[in-house]
Amino acid sequence: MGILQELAKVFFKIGLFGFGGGYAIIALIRHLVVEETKWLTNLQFIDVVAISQVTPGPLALNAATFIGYKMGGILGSLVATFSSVLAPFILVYVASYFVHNIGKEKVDLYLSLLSPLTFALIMSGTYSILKDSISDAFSILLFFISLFLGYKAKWSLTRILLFSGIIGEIFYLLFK
Amino acid sequence: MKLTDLFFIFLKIGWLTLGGGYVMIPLFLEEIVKKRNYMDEEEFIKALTLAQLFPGPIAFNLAVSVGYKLKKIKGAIISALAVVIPSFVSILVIAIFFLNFQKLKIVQGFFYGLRPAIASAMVLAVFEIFKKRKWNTLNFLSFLFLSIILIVFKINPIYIIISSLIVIILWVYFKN
Repeated sequence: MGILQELAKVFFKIGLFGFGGGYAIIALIRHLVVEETKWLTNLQFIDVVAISQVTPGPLALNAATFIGYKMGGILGSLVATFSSVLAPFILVYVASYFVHNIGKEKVDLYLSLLSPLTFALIMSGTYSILKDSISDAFSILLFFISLFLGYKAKWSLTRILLFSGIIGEIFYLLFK
Repeated sequence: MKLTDLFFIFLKIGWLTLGGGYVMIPLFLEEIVKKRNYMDEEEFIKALTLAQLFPGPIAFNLAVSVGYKLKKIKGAIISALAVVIPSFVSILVIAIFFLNFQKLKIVQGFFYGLRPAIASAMVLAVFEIFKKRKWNTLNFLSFLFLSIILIVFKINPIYIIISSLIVIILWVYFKN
């Protein structure tokens, strides 16, 4: 199978099974692009997640464009991006056409039943990112500093990323 | 309202949705309901509900369902396209730079610092979920069960998503 077809297949799946959004989708994308196809290494995957946090658009789309470009150039990025939104587009479109009234109770029940799955996916994604990003004593230190800045000092994510990136940079250039 | 208006509104929303997720819903509400009165709040909530039911990025799904409500198929396609373009363009530019310069020590150092910060943001998100969420026993047990099979047994998330969905949909269906 050519790379374009493979990109289309993988990102169509990500669109079709991408429930929960946000961090919940990390486990799914990681499984497909790191473990199954090996298009990205563990570390490159975290880098894509990091980039996605400070650029427009959701992770699934950002990952599609990035990996599509990496594996198949501009055409690859178009194919992957298009494939990643194909299933959601069709589903939402068809539902908009047919469904005019949805019982609020049913929707609430559905969403509340979906939440254990979403949280389990977030846990699993967090576990793999945590495991891969902590590589030495200094990264453990950075992890706790960032945790403190986010939790206690209530810094915004962009600010924490910038800070942590610069501190990491200084350490890396001096000691690595 | 013309299709071009719709296009530029969603292009603007697309630029402003850093990181994606539910944070952009107020932005939709502001642009579509409050500023321009394209639909009333009740209709908007209906479109949002529909968008939440399906997989896919919430901003994208919402653009499709709002676009459909306003201008049928043309509206859905134009809105979908407009909301994706900012994400696509910015990630493409970054991908081109990143893939060319990722071997440079200065780039590696920055990402070395970023990774633990991303991990900390995810751990924080997990904290928040546990703090805010009121768990009932069943939800908690299914969360625990799903997390263990995802993390410990490394089962393909797609199988877990499919089987959970089957259970959830049957549950919702037979509840009445």
